[in-house]
Amino acid sequence: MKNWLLAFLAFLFATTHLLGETPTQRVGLPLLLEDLYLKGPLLEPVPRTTREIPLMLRMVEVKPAQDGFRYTIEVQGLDAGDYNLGEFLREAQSESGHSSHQVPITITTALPPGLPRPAELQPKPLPRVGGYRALLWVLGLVWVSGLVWVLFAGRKNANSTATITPEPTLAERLEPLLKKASQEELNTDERARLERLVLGHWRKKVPEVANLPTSESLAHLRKHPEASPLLLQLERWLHSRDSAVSDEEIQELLTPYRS
Amino acid sequence: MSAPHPSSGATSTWLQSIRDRTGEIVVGQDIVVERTLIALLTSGHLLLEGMPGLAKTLLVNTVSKALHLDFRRIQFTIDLLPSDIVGTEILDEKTGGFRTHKGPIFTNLLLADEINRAAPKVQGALLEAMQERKVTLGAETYSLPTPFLVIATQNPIEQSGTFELPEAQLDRFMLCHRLSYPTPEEEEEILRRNMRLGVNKKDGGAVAKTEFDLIGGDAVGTTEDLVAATEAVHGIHVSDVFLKHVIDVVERTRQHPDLELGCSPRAGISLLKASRARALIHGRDYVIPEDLFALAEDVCLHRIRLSYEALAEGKTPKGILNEILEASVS
Repeated sequence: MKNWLLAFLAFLFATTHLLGETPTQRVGLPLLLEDLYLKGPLLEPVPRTTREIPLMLRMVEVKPAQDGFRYTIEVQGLDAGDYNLGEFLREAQSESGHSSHQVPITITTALPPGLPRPAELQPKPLPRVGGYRALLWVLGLVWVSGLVWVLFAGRKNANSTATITPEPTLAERLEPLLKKASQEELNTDERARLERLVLGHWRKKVPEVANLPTSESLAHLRKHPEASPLLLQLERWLHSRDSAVSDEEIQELLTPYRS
Repeated sequence: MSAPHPSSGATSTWLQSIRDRTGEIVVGQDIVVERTLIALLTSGHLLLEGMPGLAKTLLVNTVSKALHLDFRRIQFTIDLLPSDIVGTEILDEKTGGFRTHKGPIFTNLLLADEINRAAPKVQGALLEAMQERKVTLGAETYSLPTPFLVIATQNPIEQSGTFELPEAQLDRFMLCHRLSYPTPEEEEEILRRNMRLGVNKKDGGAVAKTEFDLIGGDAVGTTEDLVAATEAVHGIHVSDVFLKHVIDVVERTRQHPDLELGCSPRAGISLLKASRARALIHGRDYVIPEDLFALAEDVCLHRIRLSYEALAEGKTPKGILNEILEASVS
């Protein structure tokens, strides 16, 4: 009685398995086949040696079973069609061949049948004039001629403008102010400018002061044996309350700067 | 000591005696003493930038004692409140009414130590009082004592956890002097003086003396002397030529291509006032270009701001100002 019941259950399983729908999945999506019982020795996926093989297999789990093994396999279809999974499996450790199991699966696609391929490019001969190489040559020549112009023509212009407008020297700037001072025609602005130029004159003339900051250099100049008498007299003339300096003294005071 | 004679010669002698008294306690900070006196005589305020340990507090304390002025010190911290400086109204439990508690700002000489450590609200309260010389507590407005001078300090290197004073508030300081380390000779003198300090015995115990213990003796002058000196500053002659020099320097800071912000008219006024005070201190009754150029850095440097391009080129405000001053005398 027990044997009959087992035989009936085996028959029922076989028929439901055979009559069941073929596992189906879309291109590119994973299809998981769980607890797939396959009789015989341990199987492994046939390695994908070319890009033409339409399925990718991954063994998720293998469990030993009576006369065989139960496999959980993840399948990913790359091309639409009906396939037998057994053709993509082989005995473990074997170098070639595939198993004889029949495990049908279907990979479907939403695209219409047939694979559209882009038109193949036909190489064309390059034209002799006006091609890419010619363009590069032209650009290179323009760049080199521009560089030559910047190096030589630009420098020539700068030199020519420098000779046209030379910066007036300290003596040249002092001269008109001294002339006006001799005629007693200096206004306040000109007096201020005269004083600043005289201070600048001494800053350049006394070497130990030339490199000091302006704030310190003036204090040094007021103690300098040569500059001090002239600067103190200039201060009295321009800044003191009574400005008790005669015209003769002013002329005498400005004489050293006239040379 | 009697009040100085109205003539600038006598006043400058009196001012020199203050410098000498300070020199007995503090070594090698004569320029800072001069700047403090300039600020005091022109009712300006002074900002000192320098590292800790350069005798800033000792110096201000000594000057205040020499002049017989009231002195207070506030250490600015992040949790300081405006009421900690200006004061507040306190509820008197006995009378049930409010009683005014005046803050440490009610003094003659106020040392605001590390002003950039306090929050902008506190800085604003102090700077407002500096400007108006008045403080409002509740409904009452109180005038600050005369003279009133704020000497603020800030550390130029340590910037973490600080609130930099904006240009508008920096402009309220008449002078900003950058303190430098003493020379090796001055350093030696500091160490020798420190070795001679000895020990202070008190209440059965003993404690090592500090330089602060040396501050004492009779004041060199009184408030009346200071008033006379302040009046004498206004008697210093300023020629038209000198005014042109001031305008030239200020104008050059505004025209310089590397400066985004030049000197304000307040800077020009400060240059003029400070130059007059310096002339008095140096015993002259008229100002000369040396006064202007000696003070230009302290008056102008904290009021100018470099452009982004100049900063990117690695230029400094000091370098630009030197450039301007050199250009004005060449």
